[in-house]
Amino acid sequence: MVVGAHEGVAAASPQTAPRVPRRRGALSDATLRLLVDAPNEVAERRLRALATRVSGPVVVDRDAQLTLWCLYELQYRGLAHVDERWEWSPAVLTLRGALEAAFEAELRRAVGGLPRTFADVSRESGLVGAFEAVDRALPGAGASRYVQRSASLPQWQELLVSKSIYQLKEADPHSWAIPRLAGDAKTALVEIQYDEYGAGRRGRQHSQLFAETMRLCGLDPGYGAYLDAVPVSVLALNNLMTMLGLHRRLLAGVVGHLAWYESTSCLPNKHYAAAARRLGVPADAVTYFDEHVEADAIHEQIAVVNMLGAHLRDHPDDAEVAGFGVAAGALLDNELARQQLACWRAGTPFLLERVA
Amino acid sequence: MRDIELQPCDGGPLLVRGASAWTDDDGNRHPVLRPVVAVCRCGKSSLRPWCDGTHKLLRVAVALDPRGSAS
Repeated sequence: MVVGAHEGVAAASPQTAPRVPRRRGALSDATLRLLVDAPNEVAERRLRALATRVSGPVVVDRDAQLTLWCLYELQYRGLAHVDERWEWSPAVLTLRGALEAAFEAELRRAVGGLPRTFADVSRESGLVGAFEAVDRALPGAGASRYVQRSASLPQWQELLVSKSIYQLKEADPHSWAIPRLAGDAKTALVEIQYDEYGAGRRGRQHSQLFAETMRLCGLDPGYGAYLDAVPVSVLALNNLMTMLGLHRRLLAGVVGHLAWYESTSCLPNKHYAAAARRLGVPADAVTYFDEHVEADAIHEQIAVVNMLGAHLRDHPDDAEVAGFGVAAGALLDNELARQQLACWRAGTPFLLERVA
Repeated sequence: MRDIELQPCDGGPLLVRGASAWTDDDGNRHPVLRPVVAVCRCGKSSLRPWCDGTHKLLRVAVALDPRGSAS
């Protein structure tokens, strides 16, 4: 099988602001139309009016999640042709806050049945046991094993596109926690992030490795290039990470989320590496996954024991919020995997648009 | 030379910081290319001497031994 490197839209490098997405519902349409002008009183009044009309459920509402994703992006790389001053517009923050309030409330209700506390954080095994309890409470989706054994090349490309919304800014949502942490937990987080950002080696940022993997698999590596193609489940799990990262109140949540993420990443990446080799994609496209098998075996220990464990020893009252970060991450990730598996087993596309 | 720090993880690998190489029990020298590495202690990793997370799949307890030394 021949996989051609992507030669299409070359304008977007992984680091440039994404264009304003095309597919919209009423809320995202109204919001994004207002953001194309410079901040002004009329637009701000309309944004505040939109905030009063936010109603749930937003977890499964693509229009709401797309709007939230775009508002969050103002805090990362911005949106192409959108005035940077919108980032701190009180009206934008009002609308964002209304979406976040509904999102968080729905997630807290949804994770109510999952373990939310870490009863014994004095021993490392207490944390490991808590992660295992979360896993046991969810249906084992087994998406990565399916990909390893059975995924076709178009399904493999759908997987990469689904992952790209996060992986092209890999590690960034958790970096918001760095100035807010102290002591051993901060040392541990920075040790992980240094590795994520290439450990001082040019071109070795994990987001850069992922962009190269996309290019070699015939996909556009531009940041946000596939926003129009991803279902709501992809947007929701990305928005969760940013919500946890941007709110100091939820600091333990982003710490818990990273510990969970690193702990559940090593073995799936091994499956993905095997899938890539089975599908015959260029060897350099497998580098990203091989790197993550090795790196995440390190990161999971640092994240669970040195970071989360230290933070909870210093702040025992944070266990509930940490548990929320773990459980909400597990819930949304599991839902995405469940949907992907259902589509792929049925031979139907998971994404909303053809991507290659 | 920087001090080498060893951190055994409960039921998992040995974290090694500040090493330039890991020499396994057969005398093979594996250069350390990152600030911290995880050395397999369960003997089942496919990336040995480095950990690949396989220890989490083991259903029976195994003796944890890093089988080598850092330098």
